[in-house]
Amino acid sequence: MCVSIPTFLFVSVFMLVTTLGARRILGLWRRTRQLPELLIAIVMLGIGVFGVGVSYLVSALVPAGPVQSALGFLPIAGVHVGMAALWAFTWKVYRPDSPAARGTAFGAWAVLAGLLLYALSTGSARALHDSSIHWLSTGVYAGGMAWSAIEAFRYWGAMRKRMRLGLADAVTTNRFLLWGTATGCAALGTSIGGVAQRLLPASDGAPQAAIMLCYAGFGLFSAVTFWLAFLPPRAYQEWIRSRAGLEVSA
Amino acid sequence: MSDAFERLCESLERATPLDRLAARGTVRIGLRHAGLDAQSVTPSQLRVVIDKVLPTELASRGVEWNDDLADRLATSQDGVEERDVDSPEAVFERLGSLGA
Repeated sequence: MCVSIPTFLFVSVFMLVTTLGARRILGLWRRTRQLPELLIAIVMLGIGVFGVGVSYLVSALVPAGPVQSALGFLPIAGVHVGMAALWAFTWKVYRPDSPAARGTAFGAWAVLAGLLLYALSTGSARALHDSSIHWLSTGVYAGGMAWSAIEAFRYWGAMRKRMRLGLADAVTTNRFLLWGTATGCAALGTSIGGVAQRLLPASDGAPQAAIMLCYAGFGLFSAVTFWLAFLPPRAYQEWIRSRAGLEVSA
Repeated sequence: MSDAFERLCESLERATPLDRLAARGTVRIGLRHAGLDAQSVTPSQLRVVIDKVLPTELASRGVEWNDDLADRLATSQDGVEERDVDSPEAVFERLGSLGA
């Protein structure tokens, strides 16, 4: 057991933000009963709380052995359910009528389900880090986040044009940028961490700590942008509106 | 394509020397400049495009802009229903409604 203080702090903040965020978005879903709200809440709970938070707590606090091995399925299941929700969110929100987007999402779900079943069949969540399986899982995680980021940035560009004509709200426009940044950072963190995990020696403590710090750093940045996107403080909203006003009048 | 888009294109084709292809192309370029698309654009969004984007687009194609043309194009949107589509903009607006 090795607990790095910065990583512990990053993960704690990340868990707090995603837990509070998920709780409030679930509250919104209870009122609206709309699918995107439910999917975002599942993304936050699955990836944020279970995938990052519980994963870190299990690896840092539970001694290696059968208990840690069994508990290791919790974060894996959380990540897979959260990732499935993220693929669904991007498809349903941006391209609900596109057969290609639907096919991509279904393909990703099949890979996620297959990976989970494979890990269960081997009796160890660590099986997902074996050889080619590792690249497949890293690809489907980072791919889902990257697709979400690309769609958000693309839509942000369109929203900026609308905003100049008075057709879009500045804070809603900014929300696409924040969501794109949040999922883009998560994709980067997952990719860098995934590559490093495979290429660096597992026995050496320093690289492993750096990988965890990489996950946590990108995760923390994602959490902050996530918070500003979906739970924006009044002062932040006013700042965005005043900046947009200057931009439009310039 | 949305009804609003189709109605505007038909109106533009009737009111100007532009043929069907040119009229639709001009409206599409105008929509792109406004960050909109032909499939989901609404009548209220198109009224803004008619007012703020189309005059320049039509001038660049040698079509003179005047009040009569503006009125005819705007009238094309009368009676077209505002579609209640759960657009990405509507979704993200809702998701941010939890802020302080």
